[in-house]
Amino acid sequence: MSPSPEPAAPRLLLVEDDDAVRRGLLLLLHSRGYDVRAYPSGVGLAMDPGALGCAILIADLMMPQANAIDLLAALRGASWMGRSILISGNLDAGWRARAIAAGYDAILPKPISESILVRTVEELLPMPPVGSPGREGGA
Amino acid sequence: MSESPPGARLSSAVARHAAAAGAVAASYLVRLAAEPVLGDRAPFLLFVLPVVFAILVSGRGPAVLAGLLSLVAGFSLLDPAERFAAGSLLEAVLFILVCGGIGWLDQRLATQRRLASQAARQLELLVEAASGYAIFMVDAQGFVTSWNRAAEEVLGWRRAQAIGQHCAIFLTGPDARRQAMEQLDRARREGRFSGEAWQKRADGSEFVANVSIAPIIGESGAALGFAKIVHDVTARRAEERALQRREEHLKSILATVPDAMVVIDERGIILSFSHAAERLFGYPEEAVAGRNVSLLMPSPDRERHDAYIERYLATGVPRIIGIGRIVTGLRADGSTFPMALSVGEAQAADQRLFTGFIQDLTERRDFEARLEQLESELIHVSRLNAMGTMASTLAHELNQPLTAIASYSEAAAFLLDRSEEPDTAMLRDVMGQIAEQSLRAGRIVRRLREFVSRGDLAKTIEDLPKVIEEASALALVGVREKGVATHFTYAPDATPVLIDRVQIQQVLINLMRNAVEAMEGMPARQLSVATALLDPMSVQVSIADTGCGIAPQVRDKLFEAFNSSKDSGMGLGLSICRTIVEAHGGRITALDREGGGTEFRFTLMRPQVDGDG
Repeated sequence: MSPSPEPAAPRLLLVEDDDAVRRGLLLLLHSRGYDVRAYPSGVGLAMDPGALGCAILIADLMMPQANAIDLLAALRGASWMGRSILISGNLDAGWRARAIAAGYDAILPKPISESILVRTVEELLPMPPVGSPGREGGA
Repeated sequence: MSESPPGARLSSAVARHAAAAGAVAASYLVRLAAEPVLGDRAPFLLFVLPVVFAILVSGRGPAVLAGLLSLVAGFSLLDPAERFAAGSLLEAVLFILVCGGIGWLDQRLATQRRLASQAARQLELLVEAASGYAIFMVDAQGFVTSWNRAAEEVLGWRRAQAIGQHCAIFLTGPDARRQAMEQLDRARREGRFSGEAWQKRADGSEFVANVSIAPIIGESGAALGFAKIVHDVTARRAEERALQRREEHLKSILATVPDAMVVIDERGIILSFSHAAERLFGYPEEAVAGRNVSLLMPSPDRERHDAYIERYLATGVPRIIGIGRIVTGLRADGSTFPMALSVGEAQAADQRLFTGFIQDLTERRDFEARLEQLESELIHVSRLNAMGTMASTLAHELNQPLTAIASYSEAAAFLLDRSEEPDTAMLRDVMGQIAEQSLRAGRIVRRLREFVSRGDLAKTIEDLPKVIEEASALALVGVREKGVATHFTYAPDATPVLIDRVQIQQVLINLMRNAVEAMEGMPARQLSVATALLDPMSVQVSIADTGCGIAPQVRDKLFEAFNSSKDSGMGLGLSICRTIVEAHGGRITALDREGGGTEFRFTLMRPQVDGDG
């Protein structure tokens, strides 16, 4: 009866300020059997137990309030050890380097190829949690 | 009451009975006080009050006690002589009837109250148990007044936090408040609001929900509030979207499949008509969908197609399904064309579908015709070259000086024979004539070559790989079946070239056919064609085989006419090749390859463009 997927479904954390993109990705990932928590902003997520329970973060680089680099740092600060995917429509070399330094496992350009996103999620899911929260300390 | 311990229950029962008795006693005192006024009239009337009190407040037992006590008290008030008179007894009976009636009414009311509260309780349980459905009420201004357990799960707000919030907090977007009020207004006006919308949980995350709102109308007709039901339909929406995606994907594939595709049902009615089919037959899909597929075929198939399907459905014996055949199609403009038709069968949900894949053979036939034309052109050139230049002209032109030389030689012999001292001056003159005729013969040969060289070359700028590919399509017909592997390597900078395409293709065909023939019966059969840029002016083409090589005795005269190692043929092939290549300003050579086989190389000129190195 419950509309949400099986309790065992991996939970994904989607943070994207663009309504259309966020909702489209939510439905896409939901249809692939993932339990998706979609937020228009990353503010306060580091204090949200629901967000910290997610296995993978999918975040848009540029958001009005907190960018994806800061968001990952905040989540790591809250001892979150999941894997992370950065999506961005305009990623120059400088931002790319910062994203890698911040510890993003994958960087996907926008417009997002849905099949590539799904494949990336499938590849990252079985990976062990990120070693220690402080490992990516460079960011 | 039921929760009280037995001791307390007992003391409560005692207290209730005592209260009932007390009420009767109080009435008795009041009646006593009224004795001077009332006398013996209505001795029981006042006791209705304590009985009713007991019925309403204390329950059935105390009420019966109060009734009995009231009867005793009523009779005690009467004058002993009148106590059991008929009037008094009648009053007592009336008193009992009134009290009984009140008791009965109360019983009924109590039952109804119990049923009502039971129903309310059940409803409450139902609302609470409705898992997945957030059910809550808002007042007329939209503030939450009740909240079920599922609402806590679905929307993420605890009951205590949610009560008193405005229902706009569950909506997304900057004008959530206005939207929320609009929805309530619509529910008020239309009696109901229902729709799918993105909703926001307490933590800010979003989901798609089915929202329905029903107004709660009071007796005055005004909306007292609204019942809202919010149900998470993200999963359903995601599934629908995935389905839609798959369908779009399929459609896009079908739109780009080069073969025309027509889907029909068991009655031959067209269900779908692909883009390629639209182009091929000249009908838009909407013009043929729903019509019988027989309109795409000329007679007699047109009249018989329904019978074809019926026969297949009846017998199960396919004539075309899964086999494919070449049939004739009928375009919208009435013209017909050859087409390859293959039909697949599919069982979809509740109906049997047939899908026809159609390949237009018109173009393929055109292509074959073009190849034939090319071949005849080549044969023509070949014949012209061979017969014209090498034999006929050569023989005729050379006859003149040769005849002259023969005549002068005879004349010289005659001069020598006739006298012992020949006329040396005359003899010298004859010899001079002979020499001159020899030179003339030489000039004829040279002029002939120049003529052939200049030929009527129609030089154009051609893409070399394309020229080679066309030639190989002709030269290598059936070659793969002979087990010859072919390998083409094109240097990207070795094109274009300035050539007479037909003549150079003749060279290529000759060399490739020679190569294939040379490899017959050889263990390794590999034909390699390659191009390379030699210098800024010229390009080299090489055709190498792993054949038997060139016999030493023919090697020196390889490119001369009438020199053939083959059983058939005039031995003109390579001499024509050389003539053509040299006419193009190039050179042709033959080399032995390491490990056996021969490699022919010839050069071609690149088109000279100003500023092009």
